[in-house]
Amino acid sequence: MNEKLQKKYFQFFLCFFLLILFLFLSNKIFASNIGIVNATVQLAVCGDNIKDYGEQCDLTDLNGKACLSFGFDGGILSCSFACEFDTSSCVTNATAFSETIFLPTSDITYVLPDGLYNLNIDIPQDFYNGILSFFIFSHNPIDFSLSKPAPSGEDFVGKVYDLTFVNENGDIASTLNKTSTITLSYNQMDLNSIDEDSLAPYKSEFGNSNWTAISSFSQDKINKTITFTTSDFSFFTIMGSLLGNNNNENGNHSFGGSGWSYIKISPEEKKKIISIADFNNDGRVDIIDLSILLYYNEHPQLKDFSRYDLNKDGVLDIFDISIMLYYWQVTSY
Amino acid sequence: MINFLFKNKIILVLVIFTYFFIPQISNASNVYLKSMNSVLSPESEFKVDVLINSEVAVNAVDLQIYYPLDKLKFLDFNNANSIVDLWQGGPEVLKNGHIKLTGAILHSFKGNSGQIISIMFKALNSGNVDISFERTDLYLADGKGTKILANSSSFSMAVNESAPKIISSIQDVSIKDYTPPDIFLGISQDSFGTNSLVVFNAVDKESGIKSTQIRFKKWLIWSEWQIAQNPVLYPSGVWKIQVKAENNSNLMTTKTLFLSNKFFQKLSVVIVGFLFVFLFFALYNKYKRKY
Repeated sequence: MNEKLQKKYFQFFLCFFLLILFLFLSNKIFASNIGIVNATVQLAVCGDNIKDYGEQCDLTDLNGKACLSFGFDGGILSCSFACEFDTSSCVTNATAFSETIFLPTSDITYVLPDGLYNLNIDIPQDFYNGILSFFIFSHNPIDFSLSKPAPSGEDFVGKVYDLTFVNENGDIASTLNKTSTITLSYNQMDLNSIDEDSLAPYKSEFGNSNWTAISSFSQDKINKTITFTTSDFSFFTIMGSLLGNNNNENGNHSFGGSGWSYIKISPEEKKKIISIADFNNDGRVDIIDLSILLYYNEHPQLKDFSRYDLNKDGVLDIFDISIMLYYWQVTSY
Repeated sequence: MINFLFKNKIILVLVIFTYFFIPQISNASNVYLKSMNSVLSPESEFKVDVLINSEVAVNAVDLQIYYPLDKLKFLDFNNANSIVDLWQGGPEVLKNGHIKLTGAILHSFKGNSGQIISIMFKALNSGNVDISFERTDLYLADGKGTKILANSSSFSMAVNESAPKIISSIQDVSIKDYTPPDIFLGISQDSFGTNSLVVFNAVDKESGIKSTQIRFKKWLIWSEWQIAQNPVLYPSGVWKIQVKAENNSNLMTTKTLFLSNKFFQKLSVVIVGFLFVFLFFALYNKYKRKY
């Protein structure tokens, strides 16, 4: 091999090595960029929101499929950048109601009571020319904290309902011939942190992470219900402004402020936190656990305090108390 | 005879009940409100102190106060001399005239006239005004988190046109504070090692903390100052953190936390990136010259 060629090879390998080193050192910072690069390669054939031959789906075009199509109870089916179905946000534990409707000739009303909340749907006759199976899934909003988070300054009230009509081919019929009337309920407890005047129904399409406010609705403050009509079916919920963001005429008064305070966690994370920080075993992290921690913080000599050393640094101090405040905050939503 | 034994049993049960349960309900703690002004005119501004007397050591308080929105306007909090070291979500004004005061006392409190916080109001309309407690939960420093309900007394005042108008009592002018706040600032991982928290605590016993703010540096430019409450979730990639606290005498302290490991990680990325670009151009020029 001549010298020039050797030099060329050396330069090539040097560049390659430096590139790998650069990407390796910046692993976390550029991790997402690496993902985008991969996706960009595929965008030529995938990513135009139209499912083409050879693709399972294409971003928001889910080919009429939903979590139900894959044996789940509900949740959110999405499409990966590789145009393959992503069922990671599908769930099997949703409170559900289902019924198959054969060519309805009269109005139908369904009610899904689910703990403290109710959903009532009135479907008019001749709403569809065919046989449909109707599914209602009631989800805890925390299931949506990552895939369909509430808009900034807003929060979920009550449950999130996934209303799905499936035709005889197993495909989703998201639009019906006639409008149905949906009534969702909320309760007094929700109003501790939410401004009742700001409540509104919201809708989110399958395969889309955004929530859109439904502008035309009626609110019954006595019975605590919100009623609206729709002919398009997807995810529905009630949302309202957090009181901290929309306070009384004085604004949000807290000398420390709370601009960073609203953090949402998954149910799994919540369970993990409770297993660590629920010192009195009442199933939640609250002021009682804080009080217990404060006691051992003040008397660390009393007994083995490793149970209360939340950051496992061998001492009980302000860090552990702050971690407890954080756990209390994030598990209380 | 049977009747006598039955009566004795009832008495015994009552004694046991009294011994074990009554101390949990009635207790030797009370929370109360105090103000220098009990009669004032509309538009007057005045301060109400929230205080605690406790014969038992308590280390956490959870209080809620109600004030009539049509009679009073909330103006501000002042935590000067507060026995509460860390607040859960800060002292907060909720909707419809409710004020939430939930906090932790690092060195438990036992004694009289423990200052929890001062609340500043403005009188709006004439009439009798009651400010009262809606929740008075205290937690014993007993290692079990025992909740006790403190006795409470509301504060009554009269607002009428003929009374003197008070404006200057908001800031206690007798207290001159020449020392800026103290700030503790650190960073800690949570129990699972997955999240890090920026932990800070600003203290100013003389005039109280007016605000605490935080900002971050990911590369070379600081983020905007944001009002923050301890703790704050550490944003990934940050190598410098600053916390600023201002007291009610408008004195400020800023504390900076330099995360050397994050800084050198960033620096290495920059250096390698720079080298890569440099080498690319060097090779390109060589190639260009050759052909």
